[in-house]
Amino acid sequence: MSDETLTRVLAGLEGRRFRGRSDLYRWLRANYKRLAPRVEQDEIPWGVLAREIAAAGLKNRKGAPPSADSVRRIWRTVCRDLAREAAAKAQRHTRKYPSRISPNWRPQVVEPPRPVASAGAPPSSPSVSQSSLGQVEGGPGSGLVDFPTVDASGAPLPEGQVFYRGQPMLRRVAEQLARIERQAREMDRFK
Amino acid sequence: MDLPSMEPIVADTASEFIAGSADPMRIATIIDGRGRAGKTTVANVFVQFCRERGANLRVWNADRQNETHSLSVFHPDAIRPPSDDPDDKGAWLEEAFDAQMEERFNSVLDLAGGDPLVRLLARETELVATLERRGVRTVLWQVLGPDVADLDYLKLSMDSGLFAPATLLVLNAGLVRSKRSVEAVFAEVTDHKVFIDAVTRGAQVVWFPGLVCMNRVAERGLSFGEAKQGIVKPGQQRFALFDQTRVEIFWAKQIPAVFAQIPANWLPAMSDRAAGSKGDIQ
Repeated sequence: MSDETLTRVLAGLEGRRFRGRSDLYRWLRANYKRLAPRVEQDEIPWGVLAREIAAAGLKNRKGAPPSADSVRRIWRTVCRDLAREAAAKAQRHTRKYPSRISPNWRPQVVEPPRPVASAGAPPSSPSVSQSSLGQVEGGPGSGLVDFPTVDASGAPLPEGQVFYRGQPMLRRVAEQLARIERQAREMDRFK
Repeated sequence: MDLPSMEPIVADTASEFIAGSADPMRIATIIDGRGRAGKTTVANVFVQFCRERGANLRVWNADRQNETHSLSVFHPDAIRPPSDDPDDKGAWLEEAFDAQMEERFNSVLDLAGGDPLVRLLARETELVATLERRGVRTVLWQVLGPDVADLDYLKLSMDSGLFAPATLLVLNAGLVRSKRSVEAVFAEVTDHKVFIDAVTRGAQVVWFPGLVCMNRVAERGLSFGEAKQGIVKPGQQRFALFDQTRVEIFWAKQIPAVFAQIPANWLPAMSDRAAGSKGDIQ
């Protein structure tokens, strides 16, 4: 295969990467390393970034210039995808040493804690709705959300930190942010 | 972000708190935020919710600029400063907190939009720590709309020392009038460094739900309990049936769900507290 052919084939393959993704996604992904530090420092408002992207001629699927909301949303998707890929890569590269643990070992079974409020609630207490705003089950500390524990470059984060919204943060902070996002989406469903 | 993380002060269990004796602290709730962010509405809901459940609290209405939908319209026992003069208001507020530390009661303070009154006092007297030492826990309710400028007031609270270990960030979804996505409209606020710093420092976040007919309830000077039952005052038009249903959903489902997310010991003791209240978030 000639060099020219190989170049053409590789270019064709490159064009097929992230098939089904928008041009905006590809652009943000391609420029992630340069953009991330500035976005993290809150230097670039989404509106300004959207205007610059539009001025460069980049359009969304409908052929319209991207809005600040869509840039912000797709940026989060890019951050999430990169973190997941980095985590998967880190796992692949982890060397497996021979186990020194007996094959018969089983983890200790621990009873799940009982809910605290049920026993002490007086009979006259009004019931609390578990509506969109009352999703206590997904609240801080519920541990229902699985956050990456490596940053976008694949470097492991310090204990107690996770990678969310394109930046490292405390797990409980990420859990609160994820909860309010989920609740907002619930509210939007009924609009 | 290397901000020190403050552990939220929370009750061990909700049942302990329901019993009424586990937490000897009284609560000074301060409703703060930018003008038109919905502070008085939030304060009104807070007072009605707590009092319906047997809480004993005094209402301090420091917002003399807002007469039509003032907290005093809904709660005639609300105490007001003698005038809008900053010195008068400052002296009035100091006396009010002094009495609270001496007599030990719960209070709620509704400030005028952007009023620096309490921040000045907080900076000068280390208000939060001073009250805490005398058995009064400050709980700051920072009301935020979708405008990034609303975060300026949160920043001011953080800088002045008013930002308490018990701080609630109240995202007022009621300000989103259009059909636009609440998530998208508030994204700039919830993505902002100041907001994330506040959560890192221990603030809890709740959504405050919108009520389409809020103005129609307020204009009639009705409590939410009255509005959901269709009660009107003499000379007023009847309350539309769909609006009654809206208020019913708001008052009986959505608002209890909001309060259920607030740590139990950030609220005044209630003799008839909701069973699902969360008192053990860590």
